[in-house]
Amino acid sequence: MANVGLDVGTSYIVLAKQDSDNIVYKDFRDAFYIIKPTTPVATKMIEKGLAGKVFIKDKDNSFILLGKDAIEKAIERNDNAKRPMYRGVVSSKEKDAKRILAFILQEVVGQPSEPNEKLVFCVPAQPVDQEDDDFDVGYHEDVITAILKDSGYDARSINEAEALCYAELSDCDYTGIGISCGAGMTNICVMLNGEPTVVFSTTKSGDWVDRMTSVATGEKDSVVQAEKEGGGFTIGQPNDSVMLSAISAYYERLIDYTTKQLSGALSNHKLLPKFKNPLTIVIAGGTSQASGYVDYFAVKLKDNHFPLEIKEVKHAADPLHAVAKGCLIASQIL
Amino acid sequence: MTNEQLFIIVFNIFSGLLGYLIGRLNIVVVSAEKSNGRIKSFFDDPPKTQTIDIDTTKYVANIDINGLEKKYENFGDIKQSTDDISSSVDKLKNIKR
Repeated sequence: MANVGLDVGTSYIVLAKQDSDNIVYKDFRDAFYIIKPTTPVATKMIEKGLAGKVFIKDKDNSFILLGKDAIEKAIERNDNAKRPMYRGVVSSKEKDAKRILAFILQEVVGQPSEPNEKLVFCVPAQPVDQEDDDFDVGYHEDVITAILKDSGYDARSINEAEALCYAELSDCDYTGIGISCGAGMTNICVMLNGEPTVVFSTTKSGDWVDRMTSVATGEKDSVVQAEKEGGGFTIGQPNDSVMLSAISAYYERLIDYTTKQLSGALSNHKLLPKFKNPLTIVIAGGTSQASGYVDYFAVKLKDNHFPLEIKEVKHAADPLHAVAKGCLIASQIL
Repeated sequence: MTNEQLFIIVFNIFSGLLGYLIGRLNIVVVSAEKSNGRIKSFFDDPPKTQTIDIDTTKYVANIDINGLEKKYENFGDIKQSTDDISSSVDKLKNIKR
């Protein structure tokens, strides 16, 4: 059975496909950067300078760098790369968002191996920390479905954290909690025997760390993001670098905020089952890859009076690919 | 105090109490309806009962990516994992059965 799993994330698009006994992942950085030449000579010079990079040329002769090359170019020009997605859904802030996202998605998924091949992609849950009605996943879901349908797939959506549970909770009879810490949002699913009982999200995650550090240090978000991903710091431990120290401090605040939201949302929740045994909590996503993230998360869950008994807090075996793997598993059940 | 005044006072107290009780009853009914809600699983069958609802999400703007000229050879990073998902799929299928 072929079928495809697709993690449509704010920072990464990850495709998962089965190839005999292996899974093949294709990752693409969800970012773009537009360069608009002012003269025909500049057009030629810029195109020459971009040789070897991943870029496309638009009808108006502007160049659109894609993926990690977009981020590198933005940093080089002391600017911020743009994102086709914001907080887990198609960005309404960028006028080119849908077009660029459609292009990236169609390039990542390619042609289906058979007509109407089944594809399962992830969508975020409704946030618990956004009081207004600005967030709606319905339109995002329809846009992604339409793009994938155009590519020849039979596409269906799944909740992001539910997909994570399918990828990582097999040993616990699919009972436990999945927490997907992406760039735009943190998604949570409480699962009992393969049934999602409570799903929700919070709107602060890796991008919030970048933004706040950027405000604190005066550096561009793209620069902060590159430093953050370079590592060299452990959450909860002092650091000599001003920027890394700020990143670490905001990570601490993020984890404290997320665990407080988690404890608050699950305390006395009407739909929460009565679990017989202590639960496994699995954490995944790009934001969780910072050193010390999972350990600090476990500490803060206790500090913030998490209402359920915990067996262990573990990191997904492959944090960046776990959601795509869960989507692939779900696509095999359809 | 005349009988008429007494009647008005008793009538007002009675009306207030009745209003309060109806209000409380309404809250209890709404809470009970809400607590019966269940998260829809990815694998759930579509509901059998037809409900009439306004679908506000079915407009998707036409996305035109024609005219974008590709200037690269490889798109994305490929990684192969020896992960075998067949046991997870079988286990999940059994649970869902």
